[in-house]
Amino acid sequence: MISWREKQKAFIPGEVELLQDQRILDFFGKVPVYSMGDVNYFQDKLNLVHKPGKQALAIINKETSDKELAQLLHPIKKIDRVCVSINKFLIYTNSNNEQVDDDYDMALLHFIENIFEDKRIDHYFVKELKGHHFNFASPTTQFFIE
Amino acid sequence: MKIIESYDDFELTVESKKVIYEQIHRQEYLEAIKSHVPKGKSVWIDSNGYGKQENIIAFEHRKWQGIFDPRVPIKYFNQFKSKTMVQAINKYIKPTSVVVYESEEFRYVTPETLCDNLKFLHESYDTMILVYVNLRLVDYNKLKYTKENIIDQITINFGRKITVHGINQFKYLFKINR
Repeated sequence: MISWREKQKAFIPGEVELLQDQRILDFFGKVPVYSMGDVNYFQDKLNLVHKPGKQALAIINKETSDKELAQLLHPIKKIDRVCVSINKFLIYTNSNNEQVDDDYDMALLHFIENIFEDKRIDHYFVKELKGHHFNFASPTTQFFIE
Repeated sequence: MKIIESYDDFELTVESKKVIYEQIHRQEYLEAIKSHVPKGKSVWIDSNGYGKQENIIAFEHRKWQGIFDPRVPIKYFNQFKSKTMVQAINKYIKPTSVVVYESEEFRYVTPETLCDNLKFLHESYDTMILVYVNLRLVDYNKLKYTKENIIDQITINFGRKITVHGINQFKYLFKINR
């Protein structure tokens, strides 16, 4: 079965890469990357490994609660270089949290900052994200953490 | 190697549009929706309704015109909130229901816009309104509010006229009676 990413890439003639995928490729290079989540596309493009090391990639592209997300990211919070890529439409919470920032993009950043304390975080996101940025093929909310 | 950021970076062919339309208008929950449709004529707006049942009259956005067989009797509109379309449907079709399933008018919208669109349908068509909403695709702060909170925000505007049927975890059918 052809993935939604590949179907959309086929709309454009020639060799194509999505911007958010290219960022991941540029960030990790050939150094081994411990990975979790929706990382299939990168099997042949990155040096993915099963044991935690100096780099980690987490791609969240399925329904995930805030609690599950925190649990998922906990084991990689001490790793030197991490990319967390999140489809923000697929996150949910089971309880209303009035103290959370009104701006969802900022709320996600604060969520990540709380897990990866004292790290430098480059935050990429599309403001007022609609269906034009391939988010369901490859999440457009990305945190590059060092 | 070309790096692409969005759909603004290239032109869509008719074939590409067809792929997108089919991806958007998945048939997964069609039977569940049809089980709520009352007898009589049913107008399906931006819902891939053509050919699904004899009594369904399909309206599609003009931007998709090229992807459908020109021989099939689909009616096209330029704007979802078109007064002309509303008048034509009420006057000439007199449907027993208006169905909106997997429509772009209910995707990537805020709960406020979603509510406005529901109000528009309810105030425009003198019939039962059935709208399928996938809350995954509704634009709200998902770390701050539960989906139940969002449903409450929407339904409070319609009082007893609205009923919400859960279809799957994040998928709902909003039924608004006259």
